Amino acid sequence: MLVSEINIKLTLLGQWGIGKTSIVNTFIGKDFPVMYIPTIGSNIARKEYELTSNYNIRLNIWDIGGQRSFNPLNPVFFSNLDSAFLVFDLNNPKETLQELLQTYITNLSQHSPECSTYLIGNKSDLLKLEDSEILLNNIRQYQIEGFPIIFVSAKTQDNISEAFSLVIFNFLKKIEKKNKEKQLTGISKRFLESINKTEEDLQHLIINLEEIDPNTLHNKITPTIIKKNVKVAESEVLPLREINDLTKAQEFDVDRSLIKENIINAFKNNLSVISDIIADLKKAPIDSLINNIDKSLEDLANLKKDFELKLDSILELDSNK
Amino acid sequence: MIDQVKNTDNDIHFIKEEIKSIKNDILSSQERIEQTIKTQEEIIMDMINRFNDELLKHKSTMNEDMEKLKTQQDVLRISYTINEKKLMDKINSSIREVINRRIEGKEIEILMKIWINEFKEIINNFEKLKKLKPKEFSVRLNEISDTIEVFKQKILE
Repeated sequence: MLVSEINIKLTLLGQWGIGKTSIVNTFIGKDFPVMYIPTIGSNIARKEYELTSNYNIRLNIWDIGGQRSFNPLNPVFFSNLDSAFLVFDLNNPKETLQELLQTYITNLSQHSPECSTYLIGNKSDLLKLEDSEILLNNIRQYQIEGFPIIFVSAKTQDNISEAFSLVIFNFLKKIEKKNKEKQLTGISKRFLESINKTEEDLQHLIINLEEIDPNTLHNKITPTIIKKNVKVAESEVLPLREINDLTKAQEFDVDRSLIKENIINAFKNNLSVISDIIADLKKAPIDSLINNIDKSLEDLANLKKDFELKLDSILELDSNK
Repeated sequence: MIDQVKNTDNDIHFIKEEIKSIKNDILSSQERIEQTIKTQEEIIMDMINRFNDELLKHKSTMNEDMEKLKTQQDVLRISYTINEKKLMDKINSSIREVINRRIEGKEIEILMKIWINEFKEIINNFEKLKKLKPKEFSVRLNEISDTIEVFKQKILE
């Protein structure tokens, strides 16, 4: 395998309102949003790491909208994945874990059986000691086993960059094992050096269900938040309501113009992704060209449906001005 | 017999006289006719000359008028061309205005729609890339890249 650029495709899946977009935005350095804006279709974010003058790692993050009423589940979301974050809400674990089981896990194992999957509990900043036991029981009950569990907070940025770093590190270790090429030897180590972390730092993120209890869990999470001196909201967090009809978004305290702005930005962004897909094809080695064309075609077909969904959503938003 | 001869002489003399008289008449008539012809000729020539003079006069006037008309025609032609251009500009401007009013606030949606149609074409022809020779493959990919760049710029604008 000729390596100068390593692409990793990671997708975030889960119910609406659990913070997938916030996780991504926090990771790429955007502000934590002040209000909830539903994601329409898929938004793609990218982060690049330059390991050496010969190597680049590009993490392509597909943030898939969770509102099923205007985000039909497309099987293409689950294909050709290197990694997946199954995201649930630590503040509402039962419902959001159920959703993962019912909607996402089967599709994932069918379409990307070799995908490295992580169970990500978001909103750790809202976790209270008295809820820790219920949380652990819920996770055990739904038996989403075999996936490393990580708790994060998009709001306080807790464990966010570390979780993504773990994905990259594990992926690099995988390809190091699979491909015995000299160029790839030590690449995972080089990555750790570039982000100034050790393997232990990253493995420490993972929650071991067998060893942990409610007290240990709370202690594991809380000190990091306190250390960062981040003020957690003291006022009551208003429950989010599922929006079934985009034209009535205002009734759900969601600004229509912001949704539209978001969609347009995502549209522009996804255009850039197509640019990159084409650019990568130009650089693809001849022996894997056919394979790359097929893979690219799947992504392009997915993006085409995504563009259509975005346009339909904008027209729907405009129709009832 | 002498009487007959004398009579014949007299007849002959008479006839000669008659002939002479007729000749004179003829001559005289001829003269008259010639004179008349000459006069007529002169009249006709005079008429012709006068007609020619008039014709020349008219021709000259007509030429002047023709020149004037030509000048006017040129002026009209130029004026028409200018007005036609002004009219076309006005029509195009009105059409543009109507179109702009119709698409006001929807420019980006229209661009998105155009892009989606273009993108469908790209995808429909994507499989064919596998059959292209390396040079053609590269050219085709560059074409696709250029198309994407154009749309990116337009949407960013």
